[in-house]
Order: sequence, then structure tokens, then C-alpha cells
Amino acid sequence: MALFIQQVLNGIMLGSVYSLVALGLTLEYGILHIPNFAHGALYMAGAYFTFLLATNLGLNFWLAMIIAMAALALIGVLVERVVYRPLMLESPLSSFIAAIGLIFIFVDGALNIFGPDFKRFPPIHTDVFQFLGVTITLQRIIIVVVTVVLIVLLHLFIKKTTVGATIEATAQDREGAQLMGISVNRVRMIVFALGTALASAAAALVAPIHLVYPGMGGPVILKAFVIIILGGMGSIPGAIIGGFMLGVVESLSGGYISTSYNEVFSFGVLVTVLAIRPTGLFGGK
Amino acid sequence: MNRKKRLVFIVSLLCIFGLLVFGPARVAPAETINIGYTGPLSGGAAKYGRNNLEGQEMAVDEINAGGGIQVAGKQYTFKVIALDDRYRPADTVTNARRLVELHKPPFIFCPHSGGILAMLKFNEQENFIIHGYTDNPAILLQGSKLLVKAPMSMGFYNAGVIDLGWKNGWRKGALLCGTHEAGKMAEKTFETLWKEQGGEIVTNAPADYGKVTDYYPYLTKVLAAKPDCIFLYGPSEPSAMIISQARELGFKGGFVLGSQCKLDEMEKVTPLKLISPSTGVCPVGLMPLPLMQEYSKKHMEKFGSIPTSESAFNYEVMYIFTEAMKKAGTTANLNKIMAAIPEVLPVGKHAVRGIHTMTKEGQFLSGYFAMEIAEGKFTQPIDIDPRPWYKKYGATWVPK
Repeated sequence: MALFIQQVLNGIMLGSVYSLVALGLTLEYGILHIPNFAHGALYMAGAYFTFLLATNLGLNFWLAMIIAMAALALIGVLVERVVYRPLMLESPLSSFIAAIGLIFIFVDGALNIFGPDFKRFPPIHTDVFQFLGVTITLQRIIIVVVTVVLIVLLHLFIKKTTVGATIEATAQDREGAQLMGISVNRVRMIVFALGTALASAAAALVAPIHLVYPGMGGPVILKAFVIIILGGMGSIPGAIIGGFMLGVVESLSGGYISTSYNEVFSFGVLVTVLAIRPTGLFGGK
Repeated sequence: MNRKKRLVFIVSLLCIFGLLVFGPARVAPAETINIGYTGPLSGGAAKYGRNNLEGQEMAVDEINAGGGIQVAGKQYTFKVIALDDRYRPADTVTNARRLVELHKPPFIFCPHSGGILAMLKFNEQENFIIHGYTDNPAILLQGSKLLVKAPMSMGFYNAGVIDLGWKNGWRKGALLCGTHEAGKMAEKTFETLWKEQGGEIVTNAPADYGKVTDYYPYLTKVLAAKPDCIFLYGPSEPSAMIISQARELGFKGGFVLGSQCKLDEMEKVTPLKLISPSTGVCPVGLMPLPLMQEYSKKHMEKFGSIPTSESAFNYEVMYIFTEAMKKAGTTANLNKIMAAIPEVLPVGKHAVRGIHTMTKEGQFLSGYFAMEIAEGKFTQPIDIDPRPWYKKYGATWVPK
């Protein structure tokens, strides 16, 4: 039983990181209509920003995380303005290729600037709690709690503010939104800022229990794709539920069956859900 | 008459053309011998590739600074031509062909088994000797006459470390190795050798060290089987992370660290206090070999870093090649050079890793040191002699 609870907790922790990354990706999908492949590279950039601020400048972890989120939001806006906006009216294929190009720019840039080494974030919240044979560290509790807080804040922002409503409207129908006087360009900027800031937050949260290196975005973004397809492209609740679902499935299948088949199980869930609901869990018709 | 004139004209044109094309080639500086390198110089394995290249460059720069070498009364200097293959065998082949075409190197160095295996398909026809830097004995099974290999086989490198673990009284082992090709082989090596000792493997949780975001699910599974020790094989930093997380989860047992886990690099990520008790391979920089210590100093001056095993071995192999050329009295007859290699071993003060023998397969034998990390400290390195192992298992042993 302790083993089961431990694996579920592990899965929830993993799911939190996946959810945050997938949330940003699903928001961006809503306006780009192609998955932003460069999202993982921005996640990596967020981790490096937080790492450098916390180690080189010796900033407090939370301050480093918030500054990194702001910096990444700015980079997200720039990426949208410089790369995606000129391609807005072109075929989606152009944005698609531009996204791949962005990955190269970010990953090789990081490789040249920071080198290929793995960086270890100084462990900060190292307290370990044990009860009934289950172990959890403070850092992991923080990851889950902050994720939940960010999700609630995002929900309130989208549902309760006018700006949030314009995002939803644009995602649903760009031309309709434009006709209602919504500035689509402004919405695109806000969405990119939000999306990359969320990725940066996920990276900052996971950095202390993980390593920071140029290739760290790849595996996470792959999972995030699975999640947004699983949850329904562009769906916010889909990204959240999908993220936690995938985390728990991975953890339990690894723990009880075989860790070699981790990917098989996560993609297996995807295939099963798509077979029953081709639009994903929360996808519209 | 007219025809004859035209013929003469064409022939003379051909002559001029021939002179232009072949003439300068003959007077080109024949005194430089190009040495090829094809390996990763960009991407994730860039650092590994550079470490390899450093040894080669160090040796070549030293030899050139001393005026080069004399072979059969003629003076030669060296030049390293390095090409990036991004760890891809297909690129290795392209690079090797390009090197042969343009630079005619008698030797090509390559640090990954995939690329080496690909080059072995044509190196005898195209006439170049390969130095394959890999611990995978599969490359020796091709039976190439123009191949040498300095790192010893994975089985031997890990046997000493496994022995130490066994002597610590660990009996129940758990496997948490990488899912890369070498990781899979290490997994089998650990299992075979551990069972040969009489040990037991209680669980296996392979992990893709480059992709895993969190090791807790893996470790939870491993620790539930209550092992005395965990076998790790993969890049150093993620291995160190696994140890940190295992200690968080309350694991008090030991770690048997495979040869890919470099203790000096792991120490930067996880304090030795947490790593102990463990057994692993002694980092090259800590090996109690006087020549190695000297090389460390030189390397520090030139590159600003402690040499890795890659650097040290390639440095020594470069010297073995030059000595063999001198001995054979030729820079072009590769079979003669290969035949001269066993006679020049060890290469005096350049034998930084102490290569003393070459087996018939082209495997160089040297020793290594295993060590224990106990009570937060590195303990005295233990010299592991390769001869008993190679007598018992041979150069091409792979776990079944």
C-alpha cells in the first residue's frame, strides 16, 4: 500500500510539471493552430535563467523564479512578434518550420553559451517528510502546491477578466473576435507571454530536483504534446487533467510493470482515448 | 597533315593539363602526415568528442614542437584534421571518405562504436588504420587487421568494481542502468558477472538517463525490492542525481558505479557523503601513476582542465603510432606499421596510461584502478591487472 501511495505521489509531482508545460502549449495552440514546437526550448531557457539568477547573482529562489518568468514572457512576446506574426496569414506549414528553426536557435545557443554540461541547481528545500513508509520532500510539495496555485490563477484570469475573455474568444474564432473589436495581435502577445511564463515556472520548479542542460526541453515537450492531444487540442481543463493522468500512469506502470515500457504506456493511454473520443477528452467537435 | 597537327595539339594540351593537375601534387609538401579524427564536435556529445581530440592534439603539438619525427631518413611533422560526425555512423562514413580522398591519413581516430563499425567495412580497402575509442568489444569481432583499441572491454572495466562491491558483503543487487546501447550491455554485464559471483539480481528498472524528469518512480520500484546495492551505468551527472534521490528515499545501501560514471564529475553534483558507500572506477586524474600525474599537469596548462580517460588514451596511442612508423621505417605500409606496434610498447615516458601489450585482435592492454567511496572520502585506488581477466575471458567477451 505504501508503495502504491508513493507511486501515486510521484505521479502527481510529475503530472504537475507536465500540466504546467502543457497548459502553455495548449494556450499557444489556441491562437497559432499549430503546436509551438519551440515551447520545450523556452522551458529550457527558463531553467537556465532561474539557475543563473539563483547561483551567479545569489537571488532568492522565488525571486529568481519570478524574474525568469518575466524574462521568458518577454522572450515569448518577441518570438511571437518576430517569428510567428509575419507568418500569421501564411500556410501553417511555415509556422511549423519556423518553430523547428527556433528549437535549433535556442538549444544550440544554450550549448554555445552555457556549454554541454549538466548543471546542478543548489538544493534548497531539502526537508524530507516520512509517514507510513511514504517519503516526500518539501521541494516536491512546493512543486504541486505552486502548480495548483498557478492553475487557479490562470483559470481566474481567463474566466473573470476581460483580457482573459478576449483570449478565449480569439481561440474560438479569430475572425469573429476581430469583428467584435478585439485586437488579435494584442491577444497573441498576451498568450505567448503567459505560455512561456508558465513553461518557465515549470522549469524553475523542477530545476532543484533535476539537472539543467540544453537538451532538457525535448523529453518534456514530447509529453506535453501527448497531453494536449489527449486532453483535446486547445482545451485548458484537458491539459490539466491530461497532465496529471499521464504522470500517474507513467509512475504506476513503471512501478508495477516495467520501467522500460514507460513511453509505451503513456502513448497507449493516448491511443485508447483517441480511439474512444477522437477529439480528446475535452476537445470540441 | 592537318590531322597530325591536331593530334599534336591535343597531346600537348593534355600534357599541360597533366602537369597542372599532377605536377604540383608531386612537389606538395610530403613532409606533413595528416591524422584524421571523426567524432562528435557539436550537439550533446560535443564535450566527449573534444576530450578525445585534446589527447590527439596534445601529442601532435608536442611532436611538432620537437621538430617532428624521422622515418627512414626523412623528416615528418603531423597535422590533425578533425571532422564532426555528430555521433552518427552515416556521417562517420562520409567523413572518413572525405579524409581519405583529400588528406590520405594513415590513421583515423573515432570515439564511438557505431562509427567504428561502419568504417571497418572499408578501411582495409581504402587503406587507413582505425583507433577505435570504445569499450565495446564488438568492433574486434570484425577481424580487421588495421584496427587498434585502447580502452579495454566493458566487462573488464566493471569486473573490478563489481568485485569490490561483492567484498563489501553486498549480495542482492538491483539494476538501474541507462537504456542506451552501452547501458543495455552494462546491464547484462552486471547481471552475468554478479551471478557468477553467486549474487542475486532482485529487480531491474532501466531508465533513459537523458530523458527522465524524475527518478522517484524508478527508485520507488527499486527500493521496494530491498537491494543491498544498486548498479548504475550512464552519464555521471544524472547518475549522481539518482544517488541523491535514492538517499532522500531512505536508501542506506551501496552503489556499484559502472565505468561510464565518472566519480570526479559526480562529486560536483552530489556530495561524497551521500555517494558513499559506493564502488567505482578511479578517475584518471587521481590515478597514482607518475606519468599520468605529469600529463595531468601539462593538460591543465594547455587546456585548463584535468584530462579525461579519452584524452590520456588518445595521447598515448598517437605516440604508439609514431613510434611504430619509426620502427617500421615507413609511413605508408600500414601492415608493416601494425606489425611494429607490439615491439614499441610501452612508449617510454609517453605511456601515460601504461599500455604494455597488444592482443592479436588489436586490443591494447593497460591497467586501471578501482576505488571505494566510504565515509565521504575516496579511498586508496586499487590496481586492477588486466592479464588474469584477458586470460580467462579473452578480448572479445560479451555477456550473453
